[in-house]
Amino acid sequence: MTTVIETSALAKSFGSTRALDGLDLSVSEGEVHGFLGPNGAGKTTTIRVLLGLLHADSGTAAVFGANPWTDIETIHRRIAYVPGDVNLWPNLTGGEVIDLLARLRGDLDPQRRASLLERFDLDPSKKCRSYSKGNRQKVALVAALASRAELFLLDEPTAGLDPLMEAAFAEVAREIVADGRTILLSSHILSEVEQLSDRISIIRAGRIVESGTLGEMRRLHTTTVTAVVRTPVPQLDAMPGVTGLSREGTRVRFSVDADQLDGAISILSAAGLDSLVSEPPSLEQLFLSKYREVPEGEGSR
Amino acid sequence: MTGWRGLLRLAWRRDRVMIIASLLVIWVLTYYSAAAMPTLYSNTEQLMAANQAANESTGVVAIYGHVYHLDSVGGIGANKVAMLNFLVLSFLVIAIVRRHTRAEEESGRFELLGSTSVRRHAPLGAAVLLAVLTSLVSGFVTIPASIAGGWPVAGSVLFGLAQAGVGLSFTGLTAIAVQLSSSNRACGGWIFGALGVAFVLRTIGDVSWNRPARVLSWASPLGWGQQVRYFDGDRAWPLVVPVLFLAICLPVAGWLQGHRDLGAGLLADRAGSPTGTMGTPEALAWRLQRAGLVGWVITFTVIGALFGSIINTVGGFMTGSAGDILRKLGGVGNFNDIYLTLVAGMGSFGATAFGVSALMRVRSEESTGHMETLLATPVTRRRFLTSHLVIGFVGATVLVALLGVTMAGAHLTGSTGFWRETSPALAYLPAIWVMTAAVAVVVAWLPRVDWLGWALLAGVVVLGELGSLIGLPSWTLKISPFAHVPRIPVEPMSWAPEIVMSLIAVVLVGLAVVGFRRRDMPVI
Repeated sequence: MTTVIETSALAKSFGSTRALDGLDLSVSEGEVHGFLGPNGAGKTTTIRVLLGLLHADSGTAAVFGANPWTDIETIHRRIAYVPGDVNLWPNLTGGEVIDLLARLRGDLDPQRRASLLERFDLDPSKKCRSYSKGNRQKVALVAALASRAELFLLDEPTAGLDPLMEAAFAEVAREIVADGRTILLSSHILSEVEQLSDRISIIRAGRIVESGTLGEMRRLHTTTVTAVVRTPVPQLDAMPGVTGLSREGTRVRFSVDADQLDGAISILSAAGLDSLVSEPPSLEQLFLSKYREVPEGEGSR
Repeated sequence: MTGWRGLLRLAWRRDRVMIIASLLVIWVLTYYSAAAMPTLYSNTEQLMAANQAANESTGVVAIYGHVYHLDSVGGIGANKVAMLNFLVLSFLVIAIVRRHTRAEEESGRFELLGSTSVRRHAPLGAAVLLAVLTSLVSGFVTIPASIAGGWPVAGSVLFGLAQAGVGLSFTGLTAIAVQLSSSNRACGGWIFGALGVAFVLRTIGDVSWNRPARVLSWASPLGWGQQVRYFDGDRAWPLVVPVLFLAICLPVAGWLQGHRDLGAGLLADRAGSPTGTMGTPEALAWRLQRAGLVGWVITFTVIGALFGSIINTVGGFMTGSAGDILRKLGGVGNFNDIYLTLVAGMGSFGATAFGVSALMRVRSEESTGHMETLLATPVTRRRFLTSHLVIGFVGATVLVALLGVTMAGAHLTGSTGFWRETSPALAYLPAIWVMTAAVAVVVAWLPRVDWLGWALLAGVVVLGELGSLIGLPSWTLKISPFAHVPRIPVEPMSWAPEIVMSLIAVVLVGLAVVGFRRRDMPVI
């Protein structure tokens, strides 16, 4: 599979703040890549480096194999971008902004534009000044999604959208990747990333702390098991990888590392099972555990 | 007005550097203008000659006002510093009121405040209060500065109070202007337009000081200040006018605000086109700047025609000590010619101001986040910067040319030749280019201190207008590119400085482009 974005040991400081601290990010063609992290972790800085707006202090970055700092024109022809904080020219209409950005990119597609306006329920004849935050967001989304770009850099694209519009966005995003195009979806909204992403990178204090498919990540983390057993299971007390064991009559509840899950279930099954519920870690748990893991070197700006 | 106290404190915190710096400028200008008088005119005879010379030069009267008593100690010197102080203070209070009302509302920060326990009129109240306090303080610091510089006490007090009055008038007008449109820029257009009209009205009034048209001075807040006639008859009663004017403006502004929605203007936003035709960064830059440029074009056309049509009131040929004094005030030779260079000089500052604002637009596009959206498309940084550079350079050039052409064109009888009377303005072009290019360098290399762009303009205006009057050493005066412009037709044309300045402008533009391509973006 072709790699669309590849960064290695990317570092960027603003004064004494280290915004990126050896960031290794790899995004493959045709995937929605979730880019998760708390506020100030370096998501926007990463995207700005990929857009050639910021010059990295050290490390390398490649977009479509080219240097984002020097090969602006060739790269940007293939990119569409939705900034995290959408601010549009107050005296232009939404339609004018959409068409301007399309023409600058060189791919105005009136039919696609019209269908997106309808799906996002957006009136393009209003001045940007008078749009609500959600509607401004829709203008930026339509402008980006209407394009024939091969890579979409979306910085918290659904901020300010209502659930109906979030669903519309998810639908369009799926169509885009089905087309073989790529989306880097930066967000701190876990459910959205969980629902859309093929792969996820979690960023924390300017560094990728975890990267892989959701399944891969889950395998690395603990599963919560709740079971009702017929006979006691004292073996669990001494078993490595089992934590948070609690008993309530015949009911046991514990967390177990992925590589010990098999053994733990065998013990339960030998004791005779009346009921068994196992919950894989939600992305939220992964996310929170990753945040808590690296307490020093706060990435906040 | 719950919450106004907190808002006032917030506003002061955000504006204190701007306010203190401006007040310091006013204070220094006043002190040195007064202190320099004895060295310029050692006796009453010279003083009277200078005042007479100023009165006979329509250009001086049109820009600074008429001296009513030739033995006025302040005389033309006081008129000059007063007009500068009035304008500095007007710009300051306009900035204060706009920043804390319409600008906040447009950015949406008001909604944040609106959700706290802040009442509807509190932001306007706090902004007006800060502007009123600033006006009063500016007046009060002017009084001791003027006395310390050696001007009479009574006149100094009136001068300070007249200046405070001008601040009050423009505070009131701005409070109304920010209600009119939902766009902060459009509101700025209204209030600066009003300032321009106020200037033109008093120009006509002052030039017609002995004719019925003099009443026009009374239609202008700047005129109300001048008519206090500090050091020049000392009348206290016109001080009442700005106070009454503010007392009328504020309820009107409050009423207008009460009858519109948050974020909306009194003049409603029309729906626009659902599709766009723009497809280049150049078209966008033009779209963003054209409204401003049109305003400038109208202003320059009116001023050029106005100043051209009053050339003929300028009299004869000056010799002797009066001529000497006029030389100190910035000109030599035939009065008509001096007049042309004087107006061209003022116009060149205006055209430079347009060039500066056109380049500063790059910074506001950057800090609002618009530029980021644009630069994520295949538009290169060089092309983006160039699109605004072209508007700055071409716009400033067109404005100066327009001033020259309308002034020469409106001078119907007694013209010494159309080209001869157009060229004084055109001679300023290289200096204007240098200034515009220098601001581009600031925008590219020093975005965090971009106020330097405006400070450069303020610096050359002070050097050029008051430098020799307040006795600055001559090498400092030479820093300003405007000092190297040949004052044609009074002086002979000299190409060397013009060519050198044009080359410097080209180098600075190159430097700006290099810097703009190298730095991180966006710098907020």
